[in-house]
Amino acid sequence: MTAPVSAGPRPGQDETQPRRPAEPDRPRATLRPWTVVALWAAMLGLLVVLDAGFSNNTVVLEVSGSSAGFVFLLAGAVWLDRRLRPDRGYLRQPTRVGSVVLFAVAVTLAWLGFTFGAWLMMVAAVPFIAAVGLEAAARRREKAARRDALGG
Amino acid sequence: MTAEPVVTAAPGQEETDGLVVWLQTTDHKRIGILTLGAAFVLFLFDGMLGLTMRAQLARPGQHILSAQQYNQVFTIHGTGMIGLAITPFALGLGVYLIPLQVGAPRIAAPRVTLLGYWCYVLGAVTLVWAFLTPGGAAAGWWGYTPLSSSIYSPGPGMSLWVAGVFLAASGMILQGATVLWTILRMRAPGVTMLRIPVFAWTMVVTCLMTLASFPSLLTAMGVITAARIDPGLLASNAWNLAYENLFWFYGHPVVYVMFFPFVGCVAEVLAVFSGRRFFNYTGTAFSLLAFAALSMAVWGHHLFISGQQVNDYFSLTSILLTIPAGMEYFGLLGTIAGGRLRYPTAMLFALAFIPQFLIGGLTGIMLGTPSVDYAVNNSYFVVAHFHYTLFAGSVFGFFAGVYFWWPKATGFLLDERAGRLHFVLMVIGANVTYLPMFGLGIKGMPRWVVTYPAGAGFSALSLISSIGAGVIGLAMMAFLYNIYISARQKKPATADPWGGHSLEWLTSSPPPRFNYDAQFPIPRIRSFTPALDLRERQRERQRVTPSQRAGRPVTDTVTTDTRAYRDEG
Amino acid sequence: MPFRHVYSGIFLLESVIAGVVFGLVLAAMAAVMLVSWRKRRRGAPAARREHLRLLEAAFGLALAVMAAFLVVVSFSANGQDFPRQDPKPTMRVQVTAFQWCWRFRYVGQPVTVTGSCADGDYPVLVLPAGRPVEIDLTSVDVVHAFWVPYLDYKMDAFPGHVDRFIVTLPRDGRWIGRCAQLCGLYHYEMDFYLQVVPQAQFGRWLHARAGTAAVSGR
Repeated sequence: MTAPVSAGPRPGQDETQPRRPAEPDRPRATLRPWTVVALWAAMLGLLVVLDAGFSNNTVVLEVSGSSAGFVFLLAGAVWLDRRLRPDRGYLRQPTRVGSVVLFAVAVTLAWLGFTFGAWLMMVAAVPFIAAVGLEAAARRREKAARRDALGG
Repeated sequence: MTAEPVVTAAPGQEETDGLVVWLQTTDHKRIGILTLGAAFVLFLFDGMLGLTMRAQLARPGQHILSAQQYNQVFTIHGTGMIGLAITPFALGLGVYLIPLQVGAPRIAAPRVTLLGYWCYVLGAVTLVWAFLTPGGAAAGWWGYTPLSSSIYSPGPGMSLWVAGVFLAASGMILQGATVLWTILRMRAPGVTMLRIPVFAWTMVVTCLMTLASFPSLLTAMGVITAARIDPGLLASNAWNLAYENLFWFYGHPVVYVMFFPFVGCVAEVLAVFSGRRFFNYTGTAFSLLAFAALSMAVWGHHLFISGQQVNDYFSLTSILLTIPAGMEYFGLLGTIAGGRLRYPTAMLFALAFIPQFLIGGLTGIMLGTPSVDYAVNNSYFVVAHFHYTLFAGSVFGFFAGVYFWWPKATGFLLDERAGRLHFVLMVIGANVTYLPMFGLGIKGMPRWVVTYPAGAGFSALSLISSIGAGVIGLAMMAFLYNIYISARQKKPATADPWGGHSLEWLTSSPPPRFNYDAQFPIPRIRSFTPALDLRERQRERQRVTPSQRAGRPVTDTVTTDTRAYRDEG
Repeated sequence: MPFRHVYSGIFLLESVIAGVVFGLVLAAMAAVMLVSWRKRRRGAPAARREHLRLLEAAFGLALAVMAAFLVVVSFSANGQDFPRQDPKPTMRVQVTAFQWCWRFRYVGQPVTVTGSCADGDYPVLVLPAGRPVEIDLTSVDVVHAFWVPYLDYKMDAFPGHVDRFIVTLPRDGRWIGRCAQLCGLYHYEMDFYLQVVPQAQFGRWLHARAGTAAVSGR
């Protein structure tokens, strides 16, 4: 669990921010989030092993085994995220959603291509490229704005 | 919607309203409401399809629906209820409540959450389109091959069904991922994993199951797609069996995805309206993990009659479900035991959930015995079983949650009298509809039949069941009426109209843009019931005399989680 | 193999257990609500206990014992349904499901029974009483399922695959059979009849059908 770092007002912030507590009330030993996920993955793995004792259906064992493996990877991702990403003390709140909607439309059209023909999948490329373009342009603009705010 | 960087208002100020603004939101509360709203519309749509089915089956030999129409109707009723209504109810509740309950100002990856909503909505549109196509998808919600291949289900309807299922499920995977990440990585200081509310624990396991099993459905849709491009693939029966395993590897956990959040609603409601903390919190949390893990290992009980698997393993795991399920019930009953019960509508739905879901659960254990399954599988006994768990169970739990959190989300109260009417009609309707179906199954009535012979002995019970369905329809109308009059009366709701236990009851109704702010701060967290703790501390302090109070430091008020934030364009 | 007998025993046992559990839960809820009502009248506060570790452990143990018992019952029943040593079948019938009716071919005899399942033309599967019969189930198109409610047994019929089971019919009679897996438009009409007759009568019937087949050149 992250502890937010308070280091003064952020860009665009109101000056009168309430202060954060000196010491959050924490019990001695905490259950870590990655432990929860890893524990669940271990339960899944145990059940796969149990199944292997009963049957030798490779397809079934592969499906359930890969599912358990995926959850182990998820536990690893949670653990890694906690170590690698220190809390910046603030969270960005994104507001641009055009690329999201366009991407959803592109995926839908691509799938409808299986019904109506491959030409529709090619049509799906249009909103997809538009989504990528919108996102790239906005990020470039934002990086420039940040550079200006810091350096200018 | 422009690509210009938008500098929105200072923290705490509400976004403006309007449909265009709503559809561009990245506020998890609005995404949650959009998801739940769309799901409710589809729930009513699929419910009307169910009513049509019951009208057709009320008497033998009717022609309200043709055989082709009937097969299409039950396909969309099943796929729609599961994929477009109840699963989005489950994840939508998580999207709305989780950041509030763990003290986060926003959900993890808001745009991924929004993408999940859009994939779900576009999937729903595609599925309704599949339904409306003449000769459309009619292979049931299972979509078994070879029936779903292009040989036996020619035409665009089936392909649209596959696309719609894929899209809607993808949307739910994305929302499951962001809700889970919020719980795991964005809790406020002091909110440890063993201090999140019970509802949040049910969302943890729901999202874990979603991530671990829904991809199997996507793969299964890939198998159908391959079989629709090249039906010769299915010359080897191994593919049919592979499809069944892939489908049910998703198909069983999904019913738990459609159960856990609603038992979470029931748990919260029971605790608050019994006036006591949830009983056996830690045991329940670990039971939920075991319950969810086992539920990933029982799917083969849907293949008992395939003759192509070792049934003993899946019978073992299915029956073992009794243990964590029993522990959950222990927690629910232990919570109300010794409590001082109040009975608003939310509590009525929560209390009814307990015995009704139990009927579904107990008959499920019976079905987990192959020898019983051989006799009653694919008959109306199974239809009764899963409607008891899903409708008389989960939907009741859902309404408990709706009546409970409605004031928080909207700022006004639902009418209690209309709520009681809704409740009574639901109880009568659910039981009159589904109890006779157990009898129909034992008498030998199969599933998926547009009609039945007059002399088969199914007529009386079918008629009773259909009358019950009509009562369910009236119940839904009562609920819609409740929303209508409540919206007109607009009885304002305070931050905590019920005396709630968890964090969301400490912020306004509806909450500010980033959930907690200077006016509604997060207090010091010491347990999984921060609101209850705070009320008890305040009551305690009021009892202390002024002379005793002097010199004692005030240690617990007005602290806050400062997540400063900045809007980016 | 003795599916009907095994089923009725287990179904009764599990129904009784389910009924008892359901009754106990309802009784517990009623007791709780009564106690709560009394508390309100006295003005007593709600209980504060959050854990009762001993009770939790005992309850968990009781659940585990119950589950173990049901698992043993289930395994034993499955063992009876499919004994390691199947009785040797005295005859085989190949049951082929197709959209949307049935074909019964008596293996070793030139006898095949089929029908259209439309307008009441349901085929009749005639079998002798008291002797183990092997049913070989398959399909020529989609997945169907062979179900005789009286036998309390059903099994899937897959294309490109043969599912086998052995059954001994206990007594004479005529019962309806149904398709129990959604197989398309006329799934609801895909019925058949199971007719069980004494062995001698069965022999005569088979002989007569074989004779007819020879005469008509089939």
